[in-house]
Amino acid sequence: MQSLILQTIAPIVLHLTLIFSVFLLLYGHNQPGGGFIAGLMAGVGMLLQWVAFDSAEGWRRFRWPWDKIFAGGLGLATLVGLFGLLKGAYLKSSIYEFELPFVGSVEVLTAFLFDVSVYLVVVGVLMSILTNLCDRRQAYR
Amino acid sequence: MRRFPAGSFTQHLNQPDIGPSDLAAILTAVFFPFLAALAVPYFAERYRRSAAWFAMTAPLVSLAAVGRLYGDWAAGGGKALLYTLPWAPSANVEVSFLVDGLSLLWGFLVAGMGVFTVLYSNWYLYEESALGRYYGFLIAFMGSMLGVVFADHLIALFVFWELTSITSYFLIGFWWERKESVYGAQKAILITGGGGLALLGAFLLLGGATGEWRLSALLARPDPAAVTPAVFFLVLIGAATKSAQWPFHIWLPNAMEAPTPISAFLHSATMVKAGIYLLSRFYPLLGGHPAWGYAVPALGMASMIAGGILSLRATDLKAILAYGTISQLGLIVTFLGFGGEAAVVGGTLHLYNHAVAKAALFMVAGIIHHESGTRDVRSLGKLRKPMPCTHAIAVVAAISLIGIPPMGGFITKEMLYESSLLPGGPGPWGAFWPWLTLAAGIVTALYHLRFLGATFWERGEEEPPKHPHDPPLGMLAAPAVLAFLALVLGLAPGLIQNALIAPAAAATLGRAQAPVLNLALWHGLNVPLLMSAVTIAAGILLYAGFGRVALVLEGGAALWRRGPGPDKAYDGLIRWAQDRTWPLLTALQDGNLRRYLRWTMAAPVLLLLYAAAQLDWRPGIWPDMRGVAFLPAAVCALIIAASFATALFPRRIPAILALGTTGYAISALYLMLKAPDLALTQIMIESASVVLFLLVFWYLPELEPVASTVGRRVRDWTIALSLGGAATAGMALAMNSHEVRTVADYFMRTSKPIAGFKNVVNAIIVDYRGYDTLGEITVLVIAGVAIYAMTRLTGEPNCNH
Repeated sequence: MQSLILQTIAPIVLHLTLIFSVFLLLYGHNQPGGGFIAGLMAGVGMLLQWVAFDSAEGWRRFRWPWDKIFAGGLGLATLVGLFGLLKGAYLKSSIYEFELPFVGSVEVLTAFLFDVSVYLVVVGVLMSILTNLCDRRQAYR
Repeated sequence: MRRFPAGSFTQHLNQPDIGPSDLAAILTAVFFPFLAALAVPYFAERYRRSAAWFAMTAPLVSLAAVGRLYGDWAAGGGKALLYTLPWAPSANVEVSFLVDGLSLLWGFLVAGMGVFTVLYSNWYLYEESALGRYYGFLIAFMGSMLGVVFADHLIALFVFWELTSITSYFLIGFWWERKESVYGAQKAILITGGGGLALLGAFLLLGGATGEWRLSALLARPDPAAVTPAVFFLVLIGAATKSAQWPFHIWLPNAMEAPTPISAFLHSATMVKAGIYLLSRFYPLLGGHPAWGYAVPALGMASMIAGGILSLRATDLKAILAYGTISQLGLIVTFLGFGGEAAVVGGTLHLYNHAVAKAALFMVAGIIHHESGTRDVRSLGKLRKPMPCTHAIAVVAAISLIGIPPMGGFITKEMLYESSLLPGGPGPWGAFWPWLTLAAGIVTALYHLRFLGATFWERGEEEPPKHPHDPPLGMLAAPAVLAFLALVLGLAPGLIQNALIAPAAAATLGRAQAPVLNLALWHGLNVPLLMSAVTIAAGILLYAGFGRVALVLEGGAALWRRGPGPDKAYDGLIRWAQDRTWPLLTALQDGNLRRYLRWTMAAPVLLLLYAAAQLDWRPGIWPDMRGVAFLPAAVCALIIAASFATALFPRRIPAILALGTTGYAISALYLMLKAPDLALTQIMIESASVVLFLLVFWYLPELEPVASTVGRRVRDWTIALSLGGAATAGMALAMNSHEVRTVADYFMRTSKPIAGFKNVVNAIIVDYRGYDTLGEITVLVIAGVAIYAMTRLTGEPNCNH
């Protein structure tokens, strides 16, 4: 099924969703958002390209090692947990403040890194499932 | 991080400011091998010539770390040290390691033998294809074994114990395309794994009875009341299966399918000794049990004699050595069974003696196999001339195990005889122990002589496939150093007797003060010396007349084969289990997705019904519906209608779209309830799952809807409606339980100061309930990997059904 409207809109929506997903990730700790929902947002944006175009086109645009991305996410989560261990307990979060030139004081939470790992796992697994299912279909044809 | 002498437990429970620096040594010793096991395969495959040198870092680093621990321990005056690392303090979970004389002795043994094994593997496995896999599992095994000997918590000990079984499984099955390897690996993991379960049972009983899960505390204040017969025998079964004691010894000869360095490291020097570690570690607790003095020496003695006799009939070089290992492990178990200071010291010293000498013999067997192309003694013979260096190493190692001066084995053999003479034996049986011990010693001498004779001295029945000669110097290095160490242990036991052996013996006996040892080859003219002389003379005489001995054994074996035996029992049990479980498996997992779904849906219905029966069904339990606005009510009606549509549509695509409608309607409901992030999440999930559903349908077979019978419809509707009803009831109850105090207030109040988040939902996800999230993303990754495996790694494209 080829829909001209969808094919025109999908790339624009993709950029919007990707930007919005980063926004959700960054703002997750004070406003609605967070790694899980942000990851889903990015994944669905890309998924839309599969729906709008055929799977070969989607694959051409997102030929990324999704399996490595979700594995890296889980690895990052483990490392954040181990870092907490140095602070007294596994996964214990800590807050750091930095003074950056022109930006001012920036707060970095290890919990935010954990959120990033959730993001990576969600995007990675979603896209990995999608690409694997599509690939297999192609192999039959 | 502070260290506390074992015994003072209350101090470290609430310790402030714990730094990681003091833990570096113990964490490195145990966990560095696991990290290396992840990294080494990559480098080993990439730089194949240097694979062993990459792998060598792990045992060397662990050895250095154990050395550092030894320094700390010695600086503390030889008191047991307890290293604790809080893991989840809120749940009172911590990682703790016990460093005392016994664990240090084992730490040196494991890491040291690791060095020799990797060194030897470098020459043995040079052309092997899967070097990365080999070294990865080898190093991971070493880490697990170090974990076993340093673990302080019973469950940690169990986990590491099982890890040694698992890594051993992969190493025995290293050549997985061989049927024998697969059989041997399966046998090993079933028997040692079964023993592991017995051990877990013992630990649970012990922990449950005393409320204490730390070894250090259990051993500091032994509680004889906690050692019920069940605990005692379960621990004994765990030790006997791991240490290949009769009648659980049957897995060890089949484990010889592993590459020879593995046989030397796991199946003679370290892993099979884990059972002995367990018995030594629990000696203060179990040693006082009335059955100890009967059961343990009987177990050891039976293995010692059975192993020796079986070794005499084996024709495979490695099998001869494997049965010899069973026999020697039986010797150490016997030592522990006799109990008392002299016996424990003897057993501890023999750990080292046996490890170095038997590993050297295994390496010799590997060299012979490598150079002559066969391990069958019938095709070997007269190798003394073509392989003089190998012959010299084999002789030195073998006479140490026979117990001929000036080798280390002589000292321990004398000590064994001495402790068998002590009136430690229980009651009227006491008089038999010296005679049995003597018989076991003679059998030991005989099978070692036969090993040497059949390989090096006598003429073989056939010619070996290759013309043998001494291997390159590098391959000889490891066994030569090991044989030299066996000699050093005899000539200068002073090097380790008070530094390592005595503290280990003290820890085994549960004493604070280490005994001062004065081991030497010469003890004066006494009964043990006479017994040694008799052993050697009888061994040589029997060897001279081995033809007749072999005939007798042949007759015995013919008789034995008629009766039941442990091997027959194992094979019969496996066949029985296969015959019984196969129909069950095919009945439960017949590939019918609808049946799976029925089970998955019916099970929660039953659980919820059970929960509902426990509730107090007061009149006001249902929520008050009066104030409901029109719009949410309409959306709810839409959800209900769409759910029924999902169930009633006969075709897939309309059904999926109807299901999607319910999801989007729910997200609309969330919006009305002012939960925008939930609504957004729900929309995303719904969109993704509709697309993925459509993709998955492509894989499902094209099934025409069949006309259902009335009975089926009733059954399916019953399951569906009960599940829906049960879920609704659960929701209603949850909504009505608002008067119960919840943690919500706490989260709202503390999310900014504690977690640094204003968004409470996200603070819960990544901070308060971080463990849950970690578990969830792990599940997600497992799902991703499973789909990867299903789509990429299954058979050919044409097997589509």
